[in-house]
Amino acid sequence: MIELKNVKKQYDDNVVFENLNINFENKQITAIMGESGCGKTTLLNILAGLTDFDGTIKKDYDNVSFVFNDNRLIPNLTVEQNLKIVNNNIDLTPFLKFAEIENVRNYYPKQLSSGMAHRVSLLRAFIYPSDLLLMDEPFRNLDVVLKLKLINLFKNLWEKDKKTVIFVSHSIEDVLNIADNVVIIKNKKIALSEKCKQKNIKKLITNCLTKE
Amino acid sequence: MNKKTKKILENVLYPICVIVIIFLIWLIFAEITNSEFILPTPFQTFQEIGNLFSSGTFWIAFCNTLLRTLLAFLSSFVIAGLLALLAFKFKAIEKILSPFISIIRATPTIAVILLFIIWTNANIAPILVSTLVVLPLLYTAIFSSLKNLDKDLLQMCKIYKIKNKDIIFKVCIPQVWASTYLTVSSSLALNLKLMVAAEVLANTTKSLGGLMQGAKIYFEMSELLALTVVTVVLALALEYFVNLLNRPIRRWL
Repeated sequence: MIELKNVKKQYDDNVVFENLNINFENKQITAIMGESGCGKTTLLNILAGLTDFDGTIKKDYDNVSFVFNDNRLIPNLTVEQNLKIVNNNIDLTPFLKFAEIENVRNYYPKQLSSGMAHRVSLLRAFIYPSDLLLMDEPFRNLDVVLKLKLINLFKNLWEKDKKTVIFVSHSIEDVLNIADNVVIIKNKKIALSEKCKQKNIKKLITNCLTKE
Repeated sequence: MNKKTKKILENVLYPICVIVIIFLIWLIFAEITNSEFILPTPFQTFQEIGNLFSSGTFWIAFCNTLLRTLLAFLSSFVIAGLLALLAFKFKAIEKILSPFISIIRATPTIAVILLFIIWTNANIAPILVSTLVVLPLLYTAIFSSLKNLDKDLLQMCKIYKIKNKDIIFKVCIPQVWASTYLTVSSSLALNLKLMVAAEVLANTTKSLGGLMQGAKIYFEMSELLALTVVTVVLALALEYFVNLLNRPIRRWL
C-alpha cells in the first residue's frame, strides 16, 4: 500500500496541488486523470523519487519501473542491451517472444517502429524487479490498432507479474479498459477517487472532468 | 538517379572532379609563369614527391611530425576532457576557466608560436603550441556536449538504478563522442597544420616544417610544394581516419 498524506507540491509561489490524500492499493491499477498542468506527471515524479514535496508518503517499495511516453531507450544499445542494462540476471528470450519482438533483439532503437519501441519500453518496465510501475501517458499518440495491441501486451504482462500500477491518461476508454481505480486531480485537489467497476463510472468521470 | 549512383557521385566523382579542376588551374598558372622557381608544374611537384619518398631523411621528418602531432593532440584531448568534466561538475571551475579559454582563443597563433620558441626549444615548442591552440576548440566541444546530455535518458537511468559505470560508458561517453567527433577530426588536421607552422618558425630539425624551411631558404620550390602536398594529404588522411573510426567506436561504446 502506498499512502499519501497531505502531499503538497509547489514551484516557487505556484502551488501545483495540496492536501493530497490518496491510498494506492497493492497489485491494483490506478489511473490518474485531470486537465493538462494539474500535476499528474508531477505526482508520478514524486512517487518515483525524482522531485521533492511537502507531506508524507508511506510506501513499501524500493524499486520503481517507469514507462515514459517517449520510450527513452538508449540509442547506442540494442534492444537486448537496453533490457539487460536494467536486469542482467534474467533470460530474456521468453519475454521477447511474449512481446513478439524476438526478431528485433539485435536492432538499435532507431531501427524500430514506434510500436516496437513502445513494446521494448513496456517490457523493460516489467523485467526490472520492481513493485511499483508508473506510466506517463503510455498510449498517447498511437494509432488505434497499435494502442490496442500495446494495451493487450500490458494486460498480459501484468497478469504474469502483478505490480502496483499508477498511470496517467487523458482517455476515459483507456482508463476503463485497464484501471481498477480512477483518481481525478482538479483545482489542486483530489476531485474524484472511485473504483472503475461500477455502472455509472463513465458519467462520474465525465461530469467531474467537465463541470466548472 | 538511384540512391547508389547518387552516393557514388557524391563520394567519389565529385571529389575527383574538384581535384582535377585544382590541377588544371595549377597547370595553367604554372604554364603562364613558366618558371620552376616561381610555380613548378604538378608533374614536377609529383616527381619531387617521388624523390622525397625515396629519401630516408624525409621519412624520419614525416614520422617525427606525425608523432608530435599525435602527442600534442592526445595531450590536448585529455586536458580538454578533464577540464570540461570539472567545469561541468563545478560551476565555479567553469567560471574560472571561461576567461582563460577566451584569452587562449583570442591570442594570435603566431604570438603563441614565437613565445614558446623563446621560452622552450625547437623540439618542444611546436608540441606546446599545437596543444594550446587546439585546447579551446576541444574544451568547448566536450563541455557543450556534456551540457547537452539527454536529461530524459539520465532520468530514466536514475529511476532504473542503472550502475554509474554503465551510465558513464553506455550513455554519457557515446553521446559526448557522437557530438564531438567532427570537432575531434577537424582538430587533428588543425593540429598538424599548427605543428608544421611552428616547426617552420622554430626551424625544428628532422621535421616536415624543418624541411619546408630548408626548401624555402634554398629556393627549392618544387620541394616546398611537394612537402605542402604531403602535409595536405596527411591532414586529410588524419581527418578521414577519425571519421572512419567513428562507426566502430560508436559500436564499441
